[in-house]
Amino acid sequence: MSGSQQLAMGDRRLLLETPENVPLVFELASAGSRILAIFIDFVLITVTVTLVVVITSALIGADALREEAGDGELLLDAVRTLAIFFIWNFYFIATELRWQGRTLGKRVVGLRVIARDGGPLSSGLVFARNLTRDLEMLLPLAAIVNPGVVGGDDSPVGLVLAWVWLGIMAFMPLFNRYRARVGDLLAGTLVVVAPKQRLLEDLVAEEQAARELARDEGGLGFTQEQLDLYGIHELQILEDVLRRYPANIDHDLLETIAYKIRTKIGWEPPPGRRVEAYEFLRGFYAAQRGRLEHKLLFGKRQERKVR
Amino acid sequence: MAQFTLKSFEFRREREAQWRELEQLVDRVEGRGLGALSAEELHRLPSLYRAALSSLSVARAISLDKNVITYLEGLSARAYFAVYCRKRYLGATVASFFAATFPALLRRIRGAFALSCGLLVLGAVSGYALTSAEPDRFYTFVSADMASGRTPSASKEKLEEALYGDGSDATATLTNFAAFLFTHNAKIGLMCFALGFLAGVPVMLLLFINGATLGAMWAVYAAHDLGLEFFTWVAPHGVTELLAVAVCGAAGLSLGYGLVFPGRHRRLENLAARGREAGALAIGAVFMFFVAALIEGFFRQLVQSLEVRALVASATAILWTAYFALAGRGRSVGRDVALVAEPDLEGAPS
Repeated sequence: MSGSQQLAMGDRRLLLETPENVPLVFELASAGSRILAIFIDFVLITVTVTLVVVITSALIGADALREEAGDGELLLDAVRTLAIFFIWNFYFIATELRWQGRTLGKRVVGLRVIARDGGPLSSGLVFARNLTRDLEMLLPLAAIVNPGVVGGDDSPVGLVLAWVWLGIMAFMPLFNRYRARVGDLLAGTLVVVAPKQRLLEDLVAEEQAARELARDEGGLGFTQEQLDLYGIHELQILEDVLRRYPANIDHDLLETIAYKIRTKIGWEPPPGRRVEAYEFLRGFYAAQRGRLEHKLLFGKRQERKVR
Repeated sequence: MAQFTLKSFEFRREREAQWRELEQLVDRVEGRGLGALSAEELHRLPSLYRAALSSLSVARAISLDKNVITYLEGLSARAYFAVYCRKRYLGATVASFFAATFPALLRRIRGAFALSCGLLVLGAVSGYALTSAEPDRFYTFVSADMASGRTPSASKEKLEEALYGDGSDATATLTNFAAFLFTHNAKIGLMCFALGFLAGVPVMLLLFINGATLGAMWAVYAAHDLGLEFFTWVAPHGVTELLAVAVCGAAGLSLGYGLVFPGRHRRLENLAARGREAGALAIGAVFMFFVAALIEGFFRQLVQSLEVRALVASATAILWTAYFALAGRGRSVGRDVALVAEPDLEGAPS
């Protein structure tokens, strides 16, 4: 059976060992994204309940609502009560079962519920994690809006205890390393980040990159010493920068980065050739990645720059 | 293209088509379930998944292209869940749940169930005794909107009216009342389950108070010699309803017990295992509340005869007892329980 383990205390990543023995890395969802997902779900629930009520009142007919002094209205009340109960309590269960741990809100934000042991989301597990929502979310919220809910006429000690208790329920995610709320603890689940990643083009896929790697005539002619200065960390920052080109990056920033690298490694353009900042960075990236991957193959993983 | 290229580049070029194919399959599975795939695609999914995992471990070893690695991490994770998710149909799940799993789960925690029934009865007896001795205590146990006029100071006629209805009540009123009571009780039930997290103490209180409310009402009616009438008024749906409350209470108590006495397991693991069972029980109990509301909303208001009401009450009691004691005993229940209680990877390719 597979299982999950935390990489380190305080680390927000989790390793999940698959039956194929390739560990998958998951990142625990942040409080903000979880609240956002809940908010979206909440809006959807409200809209659905409103729709149900509006449709029912249309079916009953405006006349019945007006004439029979309350009859239609009571029926509408009943429908509303039931709609709120069922939709609020079963929306999360139904969507999490249907889309494997992703309510619509979680899908939008890019989150998903997983079992702590990596197993499938069984129905019992989804029930358990969603049946505590009232206690964890609605009750503390209601208490803030209307403190009387907690019991205003009780003894002060009881009142303080009630508030402490509500606080513990509401802020449970802050008290444990899995950031699990009470429902998550009951069910043994976690909420992790699971965005859809797109596969972008390979930055070394073009002619010029091949020239750099082969140290051809047309290349920028980096020497091995120049390529030994930076590490993987810097390479991947450069990758981010290049992937933002051209739409999402300031031209001056590109110039600055190119200038810094040039001076650090002491590179001069080949005689009689003008090299633009972007062209330089692309070429440097290809050459640098070639060098670092080469080292990697020989068992040397250079994480950071030398100095 | 020049002769010399990166190994990571070659690696990606060779495998990219497979990744894209897997991504497209996973997209469809996530949207519409495994049913969206044809037999052939279904056959390809696990092998593509394993290819992606192997790509991932190779990429971690040789590639420094961050985009490729994060892409493969994400794709493998999504494919993992697509491959190892449970292929079960909702209808079949529901059917097997009520046919076997639900009663079996309750039998498993029969000790907690007995305790939670006991607390309800104890609450009812205390409520009855206390209110009989001093009618004013009624207000401690029953809130005003719950009582809706049926207080110790109400006249006998008024109390009787509530039992039989005055005939002019429209269906809508009854529906409304039943809907209110259903959600109210179901919420109490779910609360019982959720409060189990706090070591079960609040569950005991809640059960006791629930019983006390009933006892207090009974005392008011008994004071006007309407005890039997009240009993036959409550019992037809009350049997189901109170059983459901007791089921939820048992689920909460079992949770609390697991938290306080984790036994051989780690506390968090134990809580998770029990939480799944208790969650399933609570869902079953919501269904029972619904049945109770149906009896209450339709049957009770139509039938006024004491005898028929008593008959129905005994019938429900016998039916539920038989159901919980016998249902699903002959079948391979252990397996079914495991399906709800603990995830397994059975049926998944290994």
